Order: sequence, then C-alpha cells, then structure tokens
Amino acid sequence: MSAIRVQDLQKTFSVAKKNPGLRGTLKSFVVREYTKVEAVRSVSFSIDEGELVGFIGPNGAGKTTTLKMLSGLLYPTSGKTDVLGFTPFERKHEFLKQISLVMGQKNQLWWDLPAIDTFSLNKEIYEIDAKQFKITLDELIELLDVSDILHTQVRKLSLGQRMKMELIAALLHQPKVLFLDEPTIGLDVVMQQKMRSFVKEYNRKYNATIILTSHYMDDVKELCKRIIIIDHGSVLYDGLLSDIVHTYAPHKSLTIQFEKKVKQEELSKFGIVESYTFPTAVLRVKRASALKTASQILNEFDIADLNIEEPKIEDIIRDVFEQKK
Amino acid sequence: MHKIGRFYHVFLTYLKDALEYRSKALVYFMYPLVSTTVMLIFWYAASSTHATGGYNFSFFLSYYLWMMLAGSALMCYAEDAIARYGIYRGDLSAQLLRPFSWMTHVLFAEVPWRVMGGVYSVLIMVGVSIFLFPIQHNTTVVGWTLAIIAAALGFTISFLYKFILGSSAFWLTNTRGLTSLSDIIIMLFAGQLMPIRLMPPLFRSIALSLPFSSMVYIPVAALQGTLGTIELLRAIGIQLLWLCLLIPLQQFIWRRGLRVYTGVGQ
Ligand SMILES: Nc1ncnc2c1ncn2[C@@H]1O[C@H](COP(=O)(O)OP(=O)(O)OP(=O)(O)O)[C@@H](O)[C@H]1O
Ligand SMILES: [Mg+2]
Repeated sequence: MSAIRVQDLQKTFSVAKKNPGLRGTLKSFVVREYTKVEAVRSVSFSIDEGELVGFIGPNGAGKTTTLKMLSGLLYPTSGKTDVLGFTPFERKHEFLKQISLVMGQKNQLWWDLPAIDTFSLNKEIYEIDAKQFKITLDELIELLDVSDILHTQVRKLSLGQRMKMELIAALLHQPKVLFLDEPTIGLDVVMQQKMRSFVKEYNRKYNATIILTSHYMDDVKELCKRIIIIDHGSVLYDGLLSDIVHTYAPHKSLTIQFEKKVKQEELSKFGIVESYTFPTAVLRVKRASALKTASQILNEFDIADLNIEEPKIEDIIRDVFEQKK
Repeated sequence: MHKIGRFYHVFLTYLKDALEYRSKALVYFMYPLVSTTVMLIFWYAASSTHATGGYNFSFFLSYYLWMMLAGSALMCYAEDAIARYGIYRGDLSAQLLRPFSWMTHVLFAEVPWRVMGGVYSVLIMVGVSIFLFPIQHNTTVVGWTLAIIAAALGFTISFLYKFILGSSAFWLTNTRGLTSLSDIIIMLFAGQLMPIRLMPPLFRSIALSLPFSSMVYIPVAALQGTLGTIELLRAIGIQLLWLCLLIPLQQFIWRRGLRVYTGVGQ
C-alpha cells in the first residue's frame, strides 16, 4: 500500500524583482515586477509504507519545496498529493499527528526553555498517552545520548545537541511518515554515523515511511535502497540505487599497475585514459566489454596488477546532474 | 475536561516562557505608563482653565488610569510578532505542522504579557487611590458585570484586528508602514488622545462607529462608570457587531494568506 502518492506536483513562487541601485529601488516602488520561479515543475512518484527513500539533487533542485508541500506547509500550484490518505495542505490534526518534518535549521524547540519543556508541551499538543510518552522519551534519550543536557536552556546547546533535541521533539508522537531534510547537516562524523543508524532503526522498528534528503552520499548509500533524483524541479531518476549504476554508468574503470613502461597512445586503443603516471593507469572502458578488454591488456603488456571497478556512485550522480542540465 | 487540561498545560508553558522576560514586560509597560503621565499633565493644565466641558481633573485622572489598564491589559500587540517572526522569519512553519491552531498559539503567547501589564497597572492604580486621589469607578453589580463583558469583548476585538493586521505580511514585504498608520489611528479614535465624549460631534460619531473605540474606549467608559446601563448595553451591541464582522474576515484572510505563504527562512 502506498503511503505517499504525488502526481504532477508543481509549485511556482512569485518573487518581486528588484533592480540594483537607487533607481531600481524607486522603479520597483512604483511598479513591482514579479518573476516566476518554478521550484517544482512536475513531480510524480509513489512511496510504499515502510520505504526509506533518498531524495537527492543539487542546490535549488526543489527538494525542500517538495517536502514542504508533502507535509502541508505550502499550497501546491497544481497537482495531487496524498499522504496516508490525507491531502496535506488541509492540515487535519489527524494527519499532523502522524507525520513529522525535520529540517536542518528548523526550530520547534523553545529557545528560552530547556528541551524537556518542549517535549512535555508536545506530549499535550499531540495528546500522547503518558505511559507511552515516557517509554518513547527514555528510549530516544538513550539512543541519542542526551540525558545530561535535557535541562539546559536550548539557546545554550551546541548545534549538534540542538539537532538531536529537534529530532526527539519530532519523533515523540511516533510519526508514521517522516520527512528528513538534511538531518545530518552540521553534525560531526561520529554523530552522522549515529544519526544514520538511528534513522535506519526507526524505519525498521516502526515500519515508518521516510523520505530523506542529503548532500552526503554516505547517508544515502547507507540508508536508502531507492533514490529519487530531482533537478530543476523535475524527476530525473526514480529507482533502486544499485540500478543507477547500470542505467547511468555505461563504463567501468580499469586500474592497471604496469611492470614496464607503456606509451600512452598504446593504451588509448583500449579506452579513455583517465590518468596515467607510471606505473599506474586508470582506463575507462565500456561496461559490456570490460572483461574482454581486461584480458586483452593482460595478454599484451607486463602487468603487475589489474582491477575492474564500478565507478563511484558519487561520480555517477554527478554525471546525471550534469548531463541533464 | 481532558481537552481543558490539555490547554491549561500548554498555556503554562507559554506563561513560563514569558516569565523569562519579566523585565522586558516592564519595559513594554513603560509605554502606556509614560503616555498616561503625559496625558495627565496636559489635562491637569487644561482642566484648570475650565475649557474642558465641565470635566474636572478627577475625571481625567480616573479616565487615563483606566486607559492605562486597558492599553496594557486589553490592547493586543501581536501584529509585530505575527509579521516579523511568524511570517517573515518563518516560525509559523513549525507551528503549522503541529496539531494545534496557530491562532490559539498567538493567543497563548499574548495573554501572559497582558496579564503582566494588567498587574503593573492595577498596582499603580491601587497606589494612586490609596495615597493620592480616589479613582472613579463603576459602583453597581450590573455595571461591573457589563464592564467585564465589555472588557473581554474589547480584548477579543483588538486581538482579531491585530491578527488581521499582522497577516498583511503574507502580501506585503514590509508591514511597518501599515502598523505605524494603525497605531496613529488607534491613538486618535480609541480615545487615547482625548476622551471620545469630548471630541467635536463629527469626530465623535466617526470614532464611535470605528472598531477602535470598541477595543478600549468602551471598556474604559464601562469601568469608570460614565455610561448608563442602556448606553452600556448599546455599546456592547456595537462590540458584538464588530465581532461578527471581524471573525469571518480574519478567517478569510488567514485562509488566503496561507495559500501564498512560502515558509521562507527555513
Ligand atoms: N520561499 C521562496 N520564494 C521564492 N523562491 C523560492 C522559495 N523557496 C525556494 N525557492 C526557489 O525554489 C527553488 C527550489 O528551492 P528548494 O529549497 O526546494 O531547493 P533544494 O532542492 O531544497 O535545495 P538545497 O539542496 O539547496 O536545499 C530554488 O530556485 C529557490 O530559489
Ligand atoms: Mg533544501
């Protein structure tokens, strides 16, 4: 059963154009011109209950805008959204009690009070059963290791500590659908790793549906089987992360260690020479004929070592971004 | 019952948060305090020249002290927070995503400040009436009941009005101009500059037909006891009319505004 269904979703922002300088200011004072920014052009996908999907794309691709529409913050210019059977923008309380949107910079914590006060406030607002609240809270406190800073004024916490508290506040009501917008931004390496295992565990334990955006490929690689790549407001790829290699990377890399010097021209017969400084050469060859090429090379030269490698996912995704621009 | 307990709990958090700013509340209170003092100095001078339509200083003193109470406890000042933090900074986003109405949120955030302002005003009024002059006030049970109703309606009307004013930030890139204009109009027509009954007839009827007199002037007149029961009932009727107009207007503007809300700053 699909938890999230999106069809031809579109969002256009009107932005007041302001020309530089005093003259521009005066002019825009008289007649204000608007430019349209098509943040999301036409996005369709559907996500099943319990799926953990990576939502990736370069800056300004439309990821955050899409998540904001899915959670009911923004009114879509057109298109259909259905999350758990609700239309998000109506923001029915029944709906809001089952979702959470966590943004790197967003702040639902009360700045002047300790985080524990926000948590108890959420208990009331979300009408969480007292016993359940205690269990969930204790569990989250333990998982994120924050017991010693619960009573510290939020404004005095570090960025990472605040992020952990935001996450707890967002999860206390055990949302079935979770939108995570760059949840690891600004966290140290250890915390990033902890956050990842935490997200994975949450997904598994509650069978929660999660959409995650991140610019760290490690997050995506570790967590998401399926990814949706979006750029300029349109979906470029929607499928398994492992399949993207076959779809978008028609090449493999051969890394060769030579015993004796070989001329670069001789190498170029076999493929594109990406780098060559004796004794190591990296050759890009067609995926289908990688094995054949490798054996030809082994026959023709004195080889110390040879490796056939899949290109890095980072590189493939970068290629996808660049190709479609 | 369970629902009420829930709201009570939520409200306590807002109160706790506001209490972190006790000294700020005192600073905000300076505004009604200083303007009251200035007005009193002016009317003290004026009333000694007999040019004040037969009203003596005791009337003005009572009027402006009740006005101070109304200005700090009944007049709502949420427009700036709604525009600047809620809409421009995007704090509204976090609230919209919770199963709790934003309007109640704004109300709960506002009430502790009004309570603090009210407490300061009452302390000053008690001090004045013990050590300096007695303050004119309503004397009958019916009068007090109606005065309290008028005060509650006054706060509700000012809350709705300021909510609508703050919501203009959905469309405007800066609400300063509009809110300053609104402050001036309120000062003129709510009875802060001069008691409405002392205004020239044309001004008086304009003032009485605008919503601003419903926010503070009517409650003040009711508390001070300058209106007869019939007059008071009529005034409350006018307040109710404004309420019936402002509620759907606020709902409409709010719904429209959310459609253009872009959740910036997040
Ligand atoms: N409130 C807004 N008003 C006007 N334009 C906006 C607004 N929010 C986003 N945009 C524009 O819409 C486009 C998509 O923005 P969005 O924030 O969705 O990108 P993103 O994929 O989340 O990028 P990033 O990786 O940098 O977070 C951008 O061109 C951005 O400038
Ligand atoms: Mg973003």
